[in-house]
Amino acid sequence: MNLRGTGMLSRVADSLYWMARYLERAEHTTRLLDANIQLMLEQKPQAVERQLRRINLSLGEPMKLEGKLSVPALEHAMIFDTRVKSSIISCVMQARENARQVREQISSEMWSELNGLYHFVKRYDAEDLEQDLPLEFLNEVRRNISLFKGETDATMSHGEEWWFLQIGRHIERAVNTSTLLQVHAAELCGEADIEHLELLALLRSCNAFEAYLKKNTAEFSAENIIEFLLLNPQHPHSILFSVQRLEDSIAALPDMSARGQRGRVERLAGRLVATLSYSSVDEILSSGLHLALENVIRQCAQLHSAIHQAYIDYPIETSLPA
Amino acid sequence: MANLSSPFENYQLEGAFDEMFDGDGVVRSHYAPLFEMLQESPAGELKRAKQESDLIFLNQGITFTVYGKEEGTERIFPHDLLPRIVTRKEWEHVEGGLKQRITALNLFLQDIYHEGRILDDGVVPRELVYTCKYFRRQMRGLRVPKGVYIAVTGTDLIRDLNGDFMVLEDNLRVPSGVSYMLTGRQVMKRIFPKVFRQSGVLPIEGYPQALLQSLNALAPDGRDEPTIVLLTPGVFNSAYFEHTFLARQMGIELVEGRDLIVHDNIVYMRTTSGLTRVDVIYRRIDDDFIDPLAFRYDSILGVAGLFNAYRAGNVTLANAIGTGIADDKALYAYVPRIIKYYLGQDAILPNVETYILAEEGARKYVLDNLEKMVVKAVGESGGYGMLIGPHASKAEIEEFRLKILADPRNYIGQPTLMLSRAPCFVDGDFDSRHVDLRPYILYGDKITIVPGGLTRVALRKGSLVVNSSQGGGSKDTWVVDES
Repeated sequence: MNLRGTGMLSRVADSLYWMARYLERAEHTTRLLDANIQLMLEQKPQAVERQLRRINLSLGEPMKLEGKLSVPALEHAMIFDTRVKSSIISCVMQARENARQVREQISSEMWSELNGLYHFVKRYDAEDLEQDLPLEFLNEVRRNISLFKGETDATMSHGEEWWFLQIGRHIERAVNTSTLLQVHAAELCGEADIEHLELLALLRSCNAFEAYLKKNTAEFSAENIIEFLLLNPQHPHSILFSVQRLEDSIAALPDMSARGQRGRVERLAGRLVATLSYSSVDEILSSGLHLALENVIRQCAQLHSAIHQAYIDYPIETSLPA
Repeated sequence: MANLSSPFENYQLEGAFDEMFDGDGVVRSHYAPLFEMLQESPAGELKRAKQESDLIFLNQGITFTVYGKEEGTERIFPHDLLPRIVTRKEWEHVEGGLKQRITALNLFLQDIYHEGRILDDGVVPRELVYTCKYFRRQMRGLRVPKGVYIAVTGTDLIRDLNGDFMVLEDNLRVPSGVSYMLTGRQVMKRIFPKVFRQSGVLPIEGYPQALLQSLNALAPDGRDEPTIVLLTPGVFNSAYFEHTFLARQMGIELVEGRDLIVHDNIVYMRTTSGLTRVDVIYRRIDDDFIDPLAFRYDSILGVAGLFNAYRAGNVTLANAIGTGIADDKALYAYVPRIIKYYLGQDAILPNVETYILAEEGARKYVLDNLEKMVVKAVGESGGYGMLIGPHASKAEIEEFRLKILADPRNYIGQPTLMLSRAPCFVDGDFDSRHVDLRPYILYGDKITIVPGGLTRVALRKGSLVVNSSQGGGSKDTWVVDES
């Protein structure tokens, strides 16, 4: 009469997965703004305009921009605009809504952090933006999300539910870092100019500035940056690191070999990890960085659908118990 | 006028049966430990206790949703600090009465959905049953496991001026509130551990296990290790807190309609390990919304095909479909006759005198005396759609008169009742408020009732409406063993 030990509800898995994805996305938008606001203070107007377009393209779903861009307008859109899908407010609202649907599955501490973040973001007065840079605000959001992740690891059992959170977080992160690199691909491959400061902003957007320095010293070469963000096996925001965590998380899910669905998910994750771990930065550059990144993004999309089909929205006929 | 001693100098005693004091203002013996504690405690201490108790409710998220006000606001369920206490002897009387009543009502359901003997014999008018909107034709001839229709009942009891318990109404569809009974008890034990021990309170903590056992007993034949789930309408339902609470306490999955699939008349839930067969559904969704193919086609809360699986005997729904006919407020008037008919006994717990407004004589009497009567719409619950004559304005009474004349079958009348009163801690002082009592009756292999139930309080002074949606609160209910 007890069903513990069979799977969790698919709906719950789906909500947890999306909750983690949206929070990761909120964090990405926050970092992106934070790194670039500081950069643009020091840039000439023309460079600022170029940077604004770049930031916009780095969002999972770029806004349709009309006319001349301004820093305050972009800041406002990326923080408060609920019509912008990657804005901080949109992502936090979506994460909270998903959490609310599975309130009894997550710990009270997690709920309380997420709920607190939501109220903090909602309370923030848009007019303050005109007076001041939102750096304090961004820092608080970042801290809140970190607290949430800390509570998640400390208060939730590391069972299937937790693994679904990991899958959501790392698939989102791999896509985000890939998109960000993609936006800089032409410059990194020497086809366009890029300022030193812009490279710093790129690394900061990935939380990777200090870690990069430790590994490569303050010498900034495009090659080293690509290698670090794409292939570094130790930095949590590198693409290789993210897809490896993704593979581990998938391996930790319950075995559904009876339906042969898990095999496909595992194969896709394994292929993605192998593509990256057996590549060198020279090979990638010679065959085209753009192509390599596009490949990662496409494979992540395939993985997302495969997971969905295997665990969430599978056909009834093939899934009846024996 | 009786003189009450400190700290009860301002306490209103007259006009109703008081749970704590007798007519002369003497403390009833089963309230003595509580009374002594209150006498000894400085007011500040009780205020702190009240704050602590409120905080526990807040932190545990023990809330409900109020409809009709600003997009359904979540509120903390008000909980009064002082327990309501009844003796074991009183409780045994109530328990016997409830068992008798539920047994008879279950037999009634079984009968009207099969042979309909009671209708043939003219004890209950056929028309009354067939015109009730909760009568489900689809249930005709359908066998339910062990013949049990009502796995969970919440019956509302009141005390008259003499202190005798009477039944005000039965809730046989999806009664709620039991989570407040259980969490209220946890809080009381933390706040008043000493009095609790001294009073010898009978435990209620076994409720979730007893509920699980009852559900287990009602599994379809041949499903020895049934998978049991709780079906909720979702996070927007006013009782969602209770649904998550009970699911957690029983260790069963909390599912929504979209988690369930019916294939070849078998119900499955969608899990990450594939489809898992579901055998018993403790459903907290009304009949109307449970299956869009069988009932309301516009329901998005239910499960398409569920009723066919139920009819095929592959899944148990608790409560069964169509139990609402037996808690129809017009049918209520016939319950004593129903008990007599099936069990050959007089009702242990009497009904409140009830006028069926579809009957001409009764209608005339009630319409002539509206300012003294309570009139209720038979299909409503939660204190909605009722007229309390003595508290209503002339215009409200006239408006209600037209409603009754337009659809007399939809209304019953009752004399204005005086609910008993119990002391409450209100704004730092003691005052009396009207209370009722809702015990929860479980029916599986046998009938089980945890001692006590949910005492609901009309927190507004003088008010007789105890519903949570209308400014009511709750009290912990202690059944004490007087030795």
